[in-house]
Amino acid sequence: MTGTGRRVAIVGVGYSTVGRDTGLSLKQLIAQGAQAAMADGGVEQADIDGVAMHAFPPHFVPAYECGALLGLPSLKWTSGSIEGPAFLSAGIHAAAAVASGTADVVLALRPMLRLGATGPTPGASAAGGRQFLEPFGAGRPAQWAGMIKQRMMSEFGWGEEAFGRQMVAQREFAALNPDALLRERITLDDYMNTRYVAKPLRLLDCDYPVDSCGAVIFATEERARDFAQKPVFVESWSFGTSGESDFELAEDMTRTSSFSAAADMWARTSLTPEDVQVAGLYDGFSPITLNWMEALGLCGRGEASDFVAEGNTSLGGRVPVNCDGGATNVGRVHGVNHVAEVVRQLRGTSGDRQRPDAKVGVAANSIAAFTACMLMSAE
Amino acid sequence: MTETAPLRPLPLPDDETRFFWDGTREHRFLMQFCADCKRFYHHPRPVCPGCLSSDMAPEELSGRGTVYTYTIAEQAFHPFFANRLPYTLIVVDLEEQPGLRFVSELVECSPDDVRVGMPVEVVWEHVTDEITLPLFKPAAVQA
Ligand SMILES: [Zn+2]
Repeated sequence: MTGTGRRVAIVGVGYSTVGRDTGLSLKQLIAQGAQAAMADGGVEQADIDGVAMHAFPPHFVPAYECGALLGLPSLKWTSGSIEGPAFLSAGIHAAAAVASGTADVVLALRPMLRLGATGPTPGASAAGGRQFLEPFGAGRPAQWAGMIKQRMMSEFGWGEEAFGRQMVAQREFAALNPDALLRERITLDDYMNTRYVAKPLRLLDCDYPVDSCGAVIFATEERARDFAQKPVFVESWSFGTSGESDFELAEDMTRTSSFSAAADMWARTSLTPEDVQVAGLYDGFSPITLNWMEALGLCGRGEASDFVAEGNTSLGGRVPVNCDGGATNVGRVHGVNHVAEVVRQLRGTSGDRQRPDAKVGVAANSIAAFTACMLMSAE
Repeated sequence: MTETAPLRPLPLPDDETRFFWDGTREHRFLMQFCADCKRFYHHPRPVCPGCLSSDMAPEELSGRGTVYTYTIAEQAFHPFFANRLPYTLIVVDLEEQPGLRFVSELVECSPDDVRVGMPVEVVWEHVTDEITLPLFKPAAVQA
């Protein structure tokens, strides 16, 4: 990372059991996810001196409590985040703690229990900012995602195929990923025949809610050399925020804070968008994936539809996107997969879905009100 | 409506938003206007996001604008809306100021007919004696 302290590496990635109705508690999921990442990296309890986690109450366990749960009695640093861009909220906090010298080996966690597609049911009264959404029957994430998809289609003259082709490509990757939950190949017709949730947003534009805990371990370059895996280095990162906290009120829905986050990330590295060979781009809703292609400069503004249609993001393409299948197929692990699969790709261990010679990759989470991206490289 | 019919979720006015709901009850569409930098903003908040002034007061808007974007709700996330499907949610670009937006429902318009950029105007939905909602309908042809 240029100008932001010590060089940071990712040394371990892993998941708990991921699935619907696992019967596992949040703490059981945390223990499983942490142990999976530690086993992946050959990282012992005594090595870890920091814990970062991201989750929403009531499904929240403070980071210091995760430390106690995992037998890490003397941490130098903990951070529990209940806001921000999914896993990268915890991931960037962890990377920054390592870069700054606050801790040397930090475990970053994103545990979650499955919420239905509906999320929490709104109450009888809508307070705060919700009073300008819920009385109108608005305010659900799928609805703002539908609004963003519609705006992209209207402004850029795209058809729904723009999004469908990316979802077909991701399912092809999922078919090659034994850990994916949805692995049956689909066609563009299959996509166009799934029901609408918030037209033009279809069910196949949405991620797949699950119980899960994904974990990633960040370490100094020096410590990384001692662990089991080939280090993947963190080159740069940034958060982005918007002038409006409601996703529905994003001033420019085809840009949003993803563009400022990406610009800040690129300003802190000598690498450029042309260097990116593999990407993990948030797919809680498919319009977000296409938005990030443009925000990161993988293609020009309004060009993501053509970029996907030309095969760039598919298996064998120039910049394969969501090579594990994405959260639409591996389950809503809420951004961990976008980092974890890029790490595997840069290690060269992604098997049949490997992007040949991948040395530079990028992960990105969320859209509009809060966003983040992280650039990674391998030697 | 039967006794067991689910009720529409109601706004809970607070000190910052009460002026808005007091206004809609009288069929006036109000937003905060900053006396220092001369701009509207929404949501209501204690300081102007443009200049941090707290010298602002509610001003009435025309209730006219255009559709910035929309979505057709095909799935209800609250029981009240289950028998209203499909319904059209819009983000309105209000005519007073570029980028001044409001989220609402478009009524008196088939979901097939809504378009980005179409002119709309406010229409008042009486819900309770306290709460009237500003919904929108396609604008009458401008003279
Ligand atoms: Zn002002």
